Amino acid sequence: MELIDKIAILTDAAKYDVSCSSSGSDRKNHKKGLGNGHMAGICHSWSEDGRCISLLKILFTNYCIYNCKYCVNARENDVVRACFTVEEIVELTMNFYRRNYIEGLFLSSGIIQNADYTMEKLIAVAKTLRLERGFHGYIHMKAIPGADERLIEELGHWVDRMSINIELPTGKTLALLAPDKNYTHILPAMEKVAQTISCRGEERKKFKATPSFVPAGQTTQMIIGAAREDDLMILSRAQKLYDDYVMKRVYYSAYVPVSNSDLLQHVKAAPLLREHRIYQADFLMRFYGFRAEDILEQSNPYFDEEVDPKMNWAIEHYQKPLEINCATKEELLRIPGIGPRGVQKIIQARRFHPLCYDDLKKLHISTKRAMHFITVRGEYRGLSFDSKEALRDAVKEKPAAKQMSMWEMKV
Amino acid sequence: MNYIYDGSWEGFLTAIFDAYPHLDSVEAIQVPDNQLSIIAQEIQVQSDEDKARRVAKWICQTFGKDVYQDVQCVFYSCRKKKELVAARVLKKMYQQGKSYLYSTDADVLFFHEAVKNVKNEAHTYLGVLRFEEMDGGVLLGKMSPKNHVLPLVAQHFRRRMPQEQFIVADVQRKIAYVHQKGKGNVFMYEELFSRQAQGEEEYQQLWKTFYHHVSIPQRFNPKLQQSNLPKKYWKHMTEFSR
Repeated sequence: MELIDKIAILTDAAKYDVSCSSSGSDRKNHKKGLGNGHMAGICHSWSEDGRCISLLKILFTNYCIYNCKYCVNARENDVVRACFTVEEIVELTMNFYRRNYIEGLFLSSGIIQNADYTMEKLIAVAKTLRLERGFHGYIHMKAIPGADERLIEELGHWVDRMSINIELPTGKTLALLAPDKNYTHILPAMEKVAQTISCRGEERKKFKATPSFVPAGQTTQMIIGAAREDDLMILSRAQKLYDDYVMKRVYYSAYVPVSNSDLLQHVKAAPLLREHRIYQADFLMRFYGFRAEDILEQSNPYFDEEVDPKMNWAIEHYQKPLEINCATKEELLRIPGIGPRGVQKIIQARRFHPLCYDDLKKLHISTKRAMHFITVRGEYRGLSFDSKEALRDAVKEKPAAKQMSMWEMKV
Repeated sequence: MNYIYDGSWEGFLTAIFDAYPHLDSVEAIQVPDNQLSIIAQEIQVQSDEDKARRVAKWICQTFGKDVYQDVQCVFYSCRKKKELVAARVLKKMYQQGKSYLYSTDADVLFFHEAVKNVKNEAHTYLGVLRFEEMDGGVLLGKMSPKNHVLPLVAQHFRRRMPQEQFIVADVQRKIAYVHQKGKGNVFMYEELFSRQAQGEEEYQQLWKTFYHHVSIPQRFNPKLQQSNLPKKYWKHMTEFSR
């Protein structure tokens, strides 16, 4: 098989993985070898689906002994299979990197023979790149749940980021859709990574030469919409992952129907809006000081499709408009339409003099969404409303205008 | 009064030095633009190493390295009046303290905008610049940025690929950074002569294959693609050629 065919097959097999970030590592290049890390990450291109491409996202192989119902590469699926050699991946990475196509490598793999054997292949790629080819660019690899702890530790030594997919929000749904996977393999592996990270951090305080271990942290991914789970289940799981394993990020991927399994016939199209709402909520948890239980309640565990989660919270907890010039940082962060950067700008600028609406405009802080919740130097520009429902109606996102066909129009 | 300088960083700092005492009556600090000005009085600025060094040192010591880098970014900006605004911001910051930077004064807002614009463009080019391997193993990357981001982009690649031989060329301004044996210099050029190395075409094909296959058809969204990557960047990118 030609290299170009392998790339086509193994890119197709890898593309449903969402993570592509290259941030969090500032690996240095000491005037030798190729590459370095960039703390903020760099996007190199955007594909036709609008997602950024920053890493060579590819599978080592799409042969797999597992039979996960949601996965294109499931054992029983009839797809063309291919397998790279270690050398091929190394050569591709080096040559793509030199031409500045990519920021590094994101390597995952189907399970061949067993978890340990697959891990050893991944380690071989990372090690060859780092030791033989002097590659200091970004490497993100998947750890295979169920592999030996020592292999996880070894891999972490060579890569910048490691991820272990949680796949589904509960052990029960996982057992249903991925019969070969198990929380009892996944969670301890995450625990091991989290522990080693914190342990190395402590050691580094004492010994500067402590070897690095996943400097850009660990992440994970959850599939949305495959298991009939509700949104609160997903958020609570994410919250727990952030709390327990110091995850850098949890990624969510709307399930794209690729399987004929009976268990998945209910998914007709990828639930993209739902995925979007979950990402919004995820950002609220990471940067706005919200917790899963603030965002959704047991009594109504689904997101409102027409109102975003932050707006929803603000409506539910509405008391009276906040004065921009005296609100605390935490209060400002909870105002719809104002983000961490806006909050920073407001706090710095109001030290100078009390802000008026004009000042907000100059600072490029939009008040379109915020105006119902704030006063600016006493001035209120929002609507007058008498109930939460009225407010909710006023701020609803209008669905994208649908073009009317000639036949629908009534004369 | 109009201060005319030679367009160099040194000249720019010298102009700030000369204009500083009577900044309120200065109408522009600019490069010669061939337009005859009848009303404004023109003063030619002679680039002066000593004055430039004093201004640079003053900025670094009174306001810090960050501000110095920001002033440099504003200097690289393609916006009109950037020189005068930068000078005024420095003077006001000196008079009112560094917190002036966070006020909503028109000059300081212009200043931040210009810095952001330059930094954003430079950052985008760190990602979308594409090198082609030429005969002799030299990597050639072309770009046509709005702002003069070559120094910022070149610095990134100098750190990233110290042992490679590469050229980053701004094809609009006809100026290129040439890196060889761990060192680099900037040159003006008339034309770039080069021939693709053997095997280059294959890697370009491999990259295009990857590029097309990594997209998920069910999520096809060219509008999002274009808002993330405006068309102006496509010109020199391998994946969009032919």
